[in-house]
Amino acid sequence: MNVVISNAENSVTAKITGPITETDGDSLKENFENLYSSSATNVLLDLTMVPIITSTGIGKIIVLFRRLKSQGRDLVINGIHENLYAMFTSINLDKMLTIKEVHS
Amino acid sequence: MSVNKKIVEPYFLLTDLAQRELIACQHDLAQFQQITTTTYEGIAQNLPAIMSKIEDSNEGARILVKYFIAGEASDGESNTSEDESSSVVSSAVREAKRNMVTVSKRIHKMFKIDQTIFGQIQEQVDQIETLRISIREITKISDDIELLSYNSVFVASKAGLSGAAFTYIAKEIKTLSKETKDYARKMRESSDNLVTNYNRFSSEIESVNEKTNARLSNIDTELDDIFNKYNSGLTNIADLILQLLDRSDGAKNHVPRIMVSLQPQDLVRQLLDQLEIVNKALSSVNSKELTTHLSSADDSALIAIIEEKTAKILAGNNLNKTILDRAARTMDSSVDELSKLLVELKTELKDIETDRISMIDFFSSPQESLGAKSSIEQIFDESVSVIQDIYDFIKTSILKKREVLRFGELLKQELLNIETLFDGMQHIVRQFAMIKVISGIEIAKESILSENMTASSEMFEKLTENIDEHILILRSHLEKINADIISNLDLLNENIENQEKSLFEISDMVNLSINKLKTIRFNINDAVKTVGKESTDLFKLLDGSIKGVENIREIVSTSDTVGSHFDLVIQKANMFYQLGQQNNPTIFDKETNYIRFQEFLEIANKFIDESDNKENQITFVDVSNELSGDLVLF
Repeated sequence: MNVVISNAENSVTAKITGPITETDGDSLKENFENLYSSSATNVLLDLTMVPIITSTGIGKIIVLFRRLKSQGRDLVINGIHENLYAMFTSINLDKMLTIKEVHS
Repeated sequence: MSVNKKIVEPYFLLTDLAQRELIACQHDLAQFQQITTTTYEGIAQNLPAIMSKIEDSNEGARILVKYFIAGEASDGESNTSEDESSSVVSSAVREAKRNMVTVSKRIHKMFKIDQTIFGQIQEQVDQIETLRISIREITKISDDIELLSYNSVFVASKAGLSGAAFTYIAKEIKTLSKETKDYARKMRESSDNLVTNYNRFSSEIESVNEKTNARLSNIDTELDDIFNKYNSGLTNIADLILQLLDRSDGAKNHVPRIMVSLQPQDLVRQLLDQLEIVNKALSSVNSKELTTHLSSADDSALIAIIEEKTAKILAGNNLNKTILDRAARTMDSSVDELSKLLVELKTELKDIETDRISMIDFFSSPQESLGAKSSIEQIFDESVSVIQDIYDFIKTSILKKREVLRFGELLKQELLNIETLFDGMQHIVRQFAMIKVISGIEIAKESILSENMTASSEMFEKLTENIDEHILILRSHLEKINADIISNLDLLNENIENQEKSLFEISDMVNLSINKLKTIRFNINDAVKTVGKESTDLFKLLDGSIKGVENIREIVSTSDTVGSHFDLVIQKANMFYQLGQQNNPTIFDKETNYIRFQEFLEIANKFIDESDNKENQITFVDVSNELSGDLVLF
């Protein structure tokens, strides 16, 4: 898994590439901590290039969403791989997160 | 100055000090040993408890998840056999699906019968058009008869008195033909109503049918979709929970490494045991022991004994200091490793715990984004709502058909109306027949009647035969249509009655499935919630172990206190040995390290390595400049 964080006016985007597995927990945590501590109002996650996700990733996305929400900030998935979208939909996570585009 | 003054008295002072320090050291050492052992044992006992806490909670959670959700599928042994899948949810979902499929099949069957009947009614009502054709024919003939009656009246009036009877007959024909036309108009209106009512009936039926067909043709797909949603949703939830449990299990791998990092405590214990052995050996070097030699030994021999005992004090205390340093260093490095590993384990478990609590909370606690429902509740409710919706649709369809059937009743009434009108018309035709007979008699009586009158009479006869023929046709059509439509409407009514009866059974089946799913929804939500509980006991144990490690670190720092006893004795013994060298250089010229004493050498060989020797060089304190004349060492 690789994470690239880019900043724009009022927003910060983390583009993740590759499967998110159990071994990516620390890296994901560190990168999400950077998103959380940024001053940007809108935090965007690009999961277009993530075909697989495990509990490590799901857990951390939920934690990030809740931490941001408690500060009145938004977590938006601006792109998601169709595999992940199917999984998010099956557990109703799509209803909690704002998902913009689904990519095949 | 006597030997006593120069050597023995300072030696006694040295041994008294060495003994005092030995007693103090033993006291400090005992405490050091006890605290070290207790703390290490505490950590060592915590570790299996930590392991079993992780294992127990994971095992409990795993059983729970498999029992409720996962079944065989999540073991990676995909088993499609319905009878062998084990989770409570999968069997309940299968049962609900089976019930719904049964419902679907029954509804399909009943609606198929409906469609056949509707088809038949459609064909029969098409025949109404043939009635309308017959009615049109009759109206046409009636028009001709009426025209003929006008003509007959005119012809008869020209015939004078002899045409009077015909004038009357022609008027009667005119009246009857008007009545015939009137009946024909009413029959036409009635048949129009019949067609209108039929069209209404037909379009309503068609609309119900179309909707029903569309929904029923999708019902299997719809059922598959919801049950797939159940399966994929709950299987994904189960898999995510099981992945978390596997991660927890993986964290257990830290524990054996922590165990290994505890092993140095054995070495520490052995070192401290050896330290005690050295102390025991040193305890025999006291003033009492020398007193026994004072009277018997000459000065040289006495000084040699004092030299050897002083060397032993120096060697023993130096060895002890080396052993203590070794023990402290061993503990220090073990504590660093232990602390690192315990903190790593705690961090990993905390991370897993944070993920687990967040995820489980989403799965099993009300979420604002899900309308105050948990993800699990939402999955169940979505499916229950589809099942309920299918049931409501079936119920509404049956009710709608019952409503539409009312138009069928109107059809029946209209058919009865046409039949009554037909009876009226038939009565007129019978009157036409009578007139025909009378007209024949009149023609026979009045031979002078004009040929025109005869021709009118013949034409009238032909027309009445014609109308008679059409009425017969109409009658046969009417009877057939009437009988068929009424029979099919009755059949339809019967079928709808059956559907209404079945609706109760279907309702029971659907409610049973829904109630079962609702119970499971509650149970599963509750069960998953327990997986999301905080591992308070586990972290208490971990924190206890981390605190224990900090205690060991503090204990290590107290080794300086124990070491200070050795330092003091070494310093004083060195000074004394230096004094001995000044006064008796030929006797105080020997090695003062542990190599000289076999009992110490054996210990040193076992526990002292190069690094110890380098770090703890046994050196004499150079006090040569300070020592001059009589020295007061203590």
